[in-house]
Amino acid sequence: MAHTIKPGLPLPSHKQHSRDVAINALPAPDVLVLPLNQHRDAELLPCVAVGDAVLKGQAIAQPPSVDALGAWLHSPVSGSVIAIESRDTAVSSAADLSIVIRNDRRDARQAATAFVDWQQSAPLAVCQSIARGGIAGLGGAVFPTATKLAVHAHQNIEYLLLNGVECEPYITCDDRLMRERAVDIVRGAQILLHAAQAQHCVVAIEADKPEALAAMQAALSAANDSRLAVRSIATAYPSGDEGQLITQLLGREIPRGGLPADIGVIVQNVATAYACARWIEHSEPLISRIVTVTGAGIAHPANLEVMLGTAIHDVLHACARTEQPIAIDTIIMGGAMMGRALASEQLPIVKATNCLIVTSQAMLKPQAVEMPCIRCAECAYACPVFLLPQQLLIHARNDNRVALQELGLADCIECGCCDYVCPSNITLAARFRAAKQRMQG
Amino acid sequence: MAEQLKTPNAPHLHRAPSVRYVMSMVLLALLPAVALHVYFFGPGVIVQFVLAASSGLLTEALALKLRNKPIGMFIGDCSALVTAALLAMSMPPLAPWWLIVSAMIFAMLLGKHVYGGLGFNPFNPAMLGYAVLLVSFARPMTRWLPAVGIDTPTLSQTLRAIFTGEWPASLTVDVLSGASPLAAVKTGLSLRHTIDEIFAQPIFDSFLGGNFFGDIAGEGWQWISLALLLGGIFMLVQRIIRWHIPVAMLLGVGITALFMNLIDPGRHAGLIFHLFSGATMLGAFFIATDPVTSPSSARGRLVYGAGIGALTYVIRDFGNYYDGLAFAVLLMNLAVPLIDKFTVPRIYGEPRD
Repeated sequence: MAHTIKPGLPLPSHKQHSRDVAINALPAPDVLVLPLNQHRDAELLPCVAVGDAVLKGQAIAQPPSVDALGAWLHSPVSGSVIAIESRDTAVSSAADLSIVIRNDRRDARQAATAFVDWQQSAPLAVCQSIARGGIAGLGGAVFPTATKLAVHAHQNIEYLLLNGVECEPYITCDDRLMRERAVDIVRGAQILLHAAQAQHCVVAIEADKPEALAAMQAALSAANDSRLAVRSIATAYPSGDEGQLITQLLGREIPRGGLPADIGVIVQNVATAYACARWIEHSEPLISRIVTVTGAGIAHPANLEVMLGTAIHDVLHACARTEQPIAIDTIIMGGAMMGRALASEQLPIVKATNCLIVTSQAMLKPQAVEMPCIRCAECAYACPVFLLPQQLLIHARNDNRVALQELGLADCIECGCCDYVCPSNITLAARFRAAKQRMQG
Repeated sequence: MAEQLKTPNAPHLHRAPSVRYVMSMVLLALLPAVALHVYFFGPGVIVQFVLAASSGLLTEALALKLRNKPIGMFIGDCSALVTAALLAMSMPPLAPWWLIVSAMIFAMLLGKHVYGGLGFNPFNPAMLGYAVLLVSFARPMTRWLPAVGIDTPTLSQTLRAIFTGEWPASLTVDVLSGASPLAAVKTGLSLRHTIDEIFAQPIFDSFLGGNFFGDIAGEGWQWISLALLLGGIFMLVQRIIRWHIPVAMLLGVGITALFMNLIDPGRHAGLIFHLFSGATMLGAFFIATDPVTSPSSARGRLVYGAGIGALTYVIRDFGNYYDGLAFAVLLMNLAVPLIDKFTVPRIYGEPRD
């Protein structure tokens, strides 16, 4: 029997502020800061030293061993390395080793290192190239793309799903990308199909993006590739979650504790496919990304193409601040449901920065006094992975690890649906994140 | 931009009705039934509610003070008012004042705050208070008024009866015996009357004349039950409650009643009678749906509701009490940890059984 998913939450959309603003490139700043921990589960070591001159697109950090796939890191500008030191990052609350580059404004590029013909190359060679291009999941998870694709060596991959769902209520960067650069996304999909040795590719787009859907359909028919298809899915949160998307499109579930590859599926974001095409076909490594800048504190919401390492402050400045009667006291990196509230606007843009929401606590959560749980179970009705958040809460408070394990704490996708519907304003997702970390540590 | 940025945890959005809003909507949904209660039985239910609400809020304030909790924040959730309203709806309208006051004090102190207040009580406080009264003071707790054939008590008659125990002269023992449909059926059956003979009594007549619709569940109660059903549907549409418990409970009552009625229609009143008399509708939509004391999964709530329904019928038909809802709810409250243990939902990615 095919699996079905819950209808999801109908979140009020805030995309209207930025969805019709075309992608615009932000000029590179004078100084760029590139943290080494910006990929998930992948260590990087600097391959430049302080004082070195660097070219635009030159690798500045790479995985510790030659065999490791991972994702490399490149200099977004030409100039010189002025420091390699610990800096605060938006990735975690701890400081991390970062490479600081001064822009010489000469825009001198690294010589092209592209494939002559990727279609004639071995899939594993394409994966290795994707790692060298610095490609990582641009939906926000930043897992190295090459590592994900290379599972085809020992697992049969049937489907490549391209995630253009963008279910978070503020983000529009993928929407704009699909509307403006659909041809490169389709080329990227073909490269990914080859690299993963997958048979079919389905592009999933939420129904609230009809222009993106039309653009992708047009690009697909132009490509005339029978392996590729596009599907519109209902607008609901969190339908862009990997597991939810697979179940919705294919009626399969990722086994508990397993990976999508276990059921013959790989999921990649549309922006990741785009980045692959730019690297493999145009020799442009991943040195910039599109960032949606929005929220009540922003006068001109925008979708900016920003060099990695640009200070968030400069990005916000480009979109102009508004004067609000209430304090603009919060900057969220990522979506309003799963994003991280930043402690400073001096932090640099990283590969995970898909959105910056500048707003105020008073507007986001007007009444946030936590009351006792009344066991109403709205959280259980809302949970997309069928957990019992109210029971998990009790066991998380008591640090009852056996019960937490039995009730599936590890299966929590941290989507925040339980918090959203809680009449007692209980912070559930944050407690579950903390409990997960305790149990791992 | 403020130098000091706030760093709250995700998610940064929240949209849920507050506990106070939910409780207020429950009270609103009760209003049509309360109006009919006043129409058939006089303003007793309002007086009982005022008594219950004031003694309940005072007791709750005292309990919160003793527990060193912020009084305003917790009293403001309106949950004590819902408990008061449910008790008032369950009390005979002319019952002496100290009955409902002691029930509320019991419900608030021993039903709720000794466990740690709202959210931690294993038993439905209103039903706990009601059951204590029913067991301890069976006679005044069952002195219901008939819905037809009496002069509806005025406010002053009601107040005199509640505060001095002096009932209007017209309400004689004869008038009051078997005044409620459930009592009439139980008394009638014990006298070896058939269901048909019992339903020929005046309390089953309709104020619309003759037996039109009156046979369904007894005049007065069937209309109040219908109003409660409408209030329940209102809460379902407003997403104040979910369907699982009410539907399962009505099925639990309905299927058992239908089954017994099919076996011997002369000795067991039918499906419609049981659905529209006594506390069936009040229980299904307003009492059994108390979130705190029900199981935490949808499947568990189906089991819980069905259990309350079946037990209510069994107590009505075979027990010593006219109605069985309060005991059915308390018995199923006891079973909640067990139900929770056996109805943990399948987690995403687990194979289906």
